[in-house]
Amino acid sequence: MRWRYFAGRAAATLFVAAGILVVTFVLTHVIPADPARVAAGARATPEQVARVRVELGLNRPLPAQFVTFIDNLLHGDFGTSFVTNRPVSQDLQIFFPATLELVLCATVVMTLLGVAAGVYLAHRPSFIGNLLVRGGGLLGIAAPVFLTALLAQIVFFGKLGWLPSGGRIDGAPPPTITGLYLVDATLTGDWSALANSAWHLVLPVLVLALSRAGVIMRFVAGEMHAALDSEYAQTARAKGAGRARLAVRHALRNAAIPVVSMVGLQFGWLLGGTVLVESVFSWPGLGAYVVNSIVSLDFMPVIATAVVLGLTFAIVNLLVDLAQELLDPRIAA
Amino acid sequence: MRALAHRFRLAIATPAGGAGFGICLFIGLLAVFGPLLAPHDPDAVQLSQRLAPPSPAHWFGTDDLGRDLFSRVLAGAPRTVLAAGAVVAVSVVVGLLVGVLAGFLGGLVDQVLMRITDIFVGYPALLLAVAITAALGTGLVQATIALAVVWWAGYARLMRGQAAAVRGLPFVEAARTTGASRWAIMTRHVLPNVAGPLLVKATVDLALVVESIAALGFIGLGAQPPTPEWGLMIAQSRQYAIEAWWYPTLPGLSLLLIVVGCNLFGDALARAFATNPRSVVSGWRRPRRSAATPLRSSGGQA
Repeated sequence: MRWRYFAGRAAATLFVAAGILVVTFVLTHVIPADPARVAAGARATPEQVARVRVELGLNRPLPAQFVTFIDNLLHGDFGTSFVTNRPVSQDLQIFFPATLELVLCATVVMTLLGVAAGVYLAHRPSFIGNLLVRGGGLLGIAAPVFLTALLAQIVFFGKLGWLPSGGRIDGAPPPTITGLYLVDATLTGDWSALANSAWHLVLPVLVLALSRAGVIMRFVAGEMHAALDSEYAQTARAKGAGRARLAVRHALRNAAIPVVSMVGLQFGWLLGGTVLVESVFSWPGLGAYVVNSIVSLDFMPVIATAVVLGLTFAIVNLLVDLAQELLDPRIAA
Repeated sequence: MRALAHRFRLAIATPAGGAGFGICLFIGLLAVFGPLLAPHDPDAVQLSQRLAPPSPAHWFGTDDLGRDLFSRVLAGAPRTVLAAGAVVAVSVVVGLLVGVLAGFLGGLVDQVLMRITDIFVGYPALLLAVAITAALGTGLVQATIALAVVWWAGYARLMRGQAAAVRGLPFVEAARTTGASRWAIMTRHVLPNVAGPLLVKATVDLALVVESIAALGFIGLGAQPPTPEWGLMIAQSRQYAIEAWWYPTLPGLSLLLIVVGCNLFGDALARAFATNPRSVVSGWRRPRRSAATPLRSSGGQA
């Protein structure tokens, strides 16, 4: 049963991945009036455009172009970026870990904050506590991410000078192993780099996390309420379980399953939000890369980023489904 | 329609819902009449008044070119509201069509339509919109189109679930046995029952789309200067923000107001539709309910 469920989910993910490829192909080869003009750049002469057209095979029929497009992608060949003058695949190796580090940290912080606030709300706190926590969570959801990012930068860098204005690290980054500075610095024992990159992560991660922690909070509070009202919770209470034991061992455990899928959904939102946060905090990640590329009409990086981030989200969704299945075997049945 | 009006009254009867609806109404009026109220020309450059703080002459202060921010915020309202309204309207129509067809016809149609929907749902919306602006070019109109291309999928999925749930219920079966056509069943039985969740989602989505339009403007892919668009105004304020707090704050607060208003109203609507556990209402014989029907939570003792 488990394997059939797994195979079904994997097939669905593959289908979505194929869809992402088709959509990006349509976006780049079908919609633009003259893709060669776009690929050649804004200042290209007609001769250059003609040369690019032949070079990229844009004069061939669309199905043939599609085969080449897929073939190149499968070989990790995303073309060359005109802005960075490097193969796009090389750019991805630099920028993707930066985005991943930011989004993964934000996911962890969002989940911790959201679950803590949700558990707090489920225990019928005082009026003031309820108002502060619930209001804070909702304000976080409602405030546009780029605005919070900008205000946080003004206050904590501009006025107070407590935190850096942006970037990933001051000075040389730790030697590249995974590209995630926190991990690389830990592996090489470079503690000053670890502290410095963590310092740079604080503002962007908090801004991203707070924009979605409220969603988790509301959800956890609802699930916990239901769980604490249930008969098994009453039984546990009757057997003398304390509040903490009841919350953690009984209610939170049952609430965990839907919360996992909720976190997975929010991950997609954070991937989108990172485009905004990276642009405010000059974070050298995929979001900033793709925006710069679009503004300078550089097309190949946009395709590559769309494919990579789309696949990341699809894989995370698959992992979430599998994690849920492990937590609750009823789902696959 | 009467059932809908009843839910609507329930929603605005709560303090939060009433406030939310009031805010939405206020923004709507602002979008229509706002530009008429503007005390200054939103595009009039006055370098002598550069970065002036809020004062009786300039309520929201001025920007780096001495343009009156209050007038620019007002001039931005119709653009934002119109663009967001267009995105949501297109999404509702397309999503309703795709979702109800898939959920009601089932079978192969359902499979094909829903797999296509999966692709759009399974992709962070803002990222896809960003990629689409790469193909369409930058500008407010292009950003609006890009968001509409992305946004419909959520509605299709919601509507499919609702339509599939209604499809097997006795009153639809009954209508089918009495010889009602597919069209009649869809419009008279299925549609009235999916209207509630649809309305709730559209209200909350309005806020998300407003934010997304501003976000695209902020990163330079949406509205282009000198358009008075809120996201773009906030982006332009970046290098002056430390000394001129009013420059990013006031367009930002306007954004926040819309988002809070839509969310409050949307939440109240959602609660109003969830009030009666039997929220499935047959198309041709609606139970009569007075506004005084006591509210009961759907959980009960279960």
